[in-house]
Amino acid sequence: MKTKVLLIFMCGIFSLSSISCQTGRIVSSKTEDLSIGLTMYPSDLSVTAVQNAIESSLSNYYRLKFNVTSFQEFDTIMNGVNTNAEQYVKGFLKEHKLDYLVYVQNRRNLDLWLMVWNQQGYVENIIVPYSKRLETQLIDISVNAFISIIENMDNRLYANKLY
Amino acid sequence: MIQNKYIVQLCMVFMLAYISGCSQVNVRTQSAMGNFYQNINKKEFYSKATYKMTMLESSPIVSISLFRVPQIVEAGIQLSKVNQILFVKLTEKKLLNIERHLIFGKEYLYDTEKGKLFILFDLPALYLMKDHLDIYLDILALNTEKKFTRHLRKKIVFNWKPLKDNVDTGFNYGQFGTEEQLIETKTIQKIVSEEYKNTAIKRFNPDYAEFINSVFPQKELIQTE
Repeated sequence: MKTKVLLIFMCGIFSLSSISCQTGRIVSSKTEDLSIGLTMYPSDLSVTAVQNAIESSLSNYYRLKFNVTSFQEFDTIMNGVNTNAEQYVKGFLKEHKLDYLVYVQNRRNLDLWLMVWNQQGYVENIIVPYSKRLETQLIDISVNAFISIIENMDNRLYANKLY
Repeated sequence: MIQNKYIVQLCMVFMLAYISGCSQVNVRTQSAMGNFYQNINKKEFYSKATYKMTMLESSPIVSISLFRVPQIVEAGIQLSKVNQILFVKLTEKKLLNIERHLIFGKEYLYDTEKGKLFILFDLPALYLMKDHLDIYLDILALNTEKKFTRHLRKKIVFNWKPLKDNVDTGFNYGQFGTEEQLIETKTIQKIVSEEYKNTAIKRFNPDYAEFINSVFPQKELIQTE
């Protein structure tokens, strides 16, 4: 009886996690010049807030059309990255037709990581030491890090900026 | 006995899940460090400015008067004991309606030796400006003693007014000629037409957008491009 309960419990967990992976993708309908995949950890970080902040930063102030797609399959992505980052990221970006993969991790009491991979599998990152006072500024910090890294990787933002 | 066995199994499942989670985080943090900070071309950054100004750490506001267009202004803001700039946000609500982050390495840099934050303002043409430009800067900096942050708010006012005399500053732009003469000049037309293409007019305050459209001499030409 207890074995059954345990099995049902575990099956429940697996099915729930698989459902959350399936439904986690939010796809924007915009046509894009820059296509970005965003994944965040832990999941309580507001993906939509960061996604909106990145989208509005770019679309209002740069002469570029773009699309930000958020992926909640964080563990699957990170397992792939940890195994063979370059190969995995190249494949992932090709499969989802993305220019960049952005990964934000808030390691509470330690730091905030923002990593960006491009189609060549090259990675750039910014690490910010964590403090509680920074929590309200996390979105601004993420956007700042994101645009600075992207610009550093392909020089498109500054050249296409608008007043 | 059997009950204990299940409890032990359950505990092991959770422990394994916990350990795998922790090890994943550790692996993540060991990912290759990019050489992002080293890649920044400082020479190129410092060579862009056509006008330089300095602002003290204690000054909340500074006013600048400009005469030529277009200008790339370098503002050197004194900021001591800073380890890292976390962001610089530019806000201008009166005319351009801008609220955006500046790009590290292209629009701002922090020089640790001089203890100065350098910001580049690629300013729009004077001829499109109806009033002086009030730019607010929100700077979040991480102190050399980590985990302490400083949030600074600075205001920089850019004065220029070829379209009419600037009442606030008392500057008289009569030497540049009348409004009509300025707009008729071919060089200025070229600059203005360039500026017009680089301007997101839709984002501006409606009155100001209307004003720009009304003074712009080649708007129909640009809009059909």
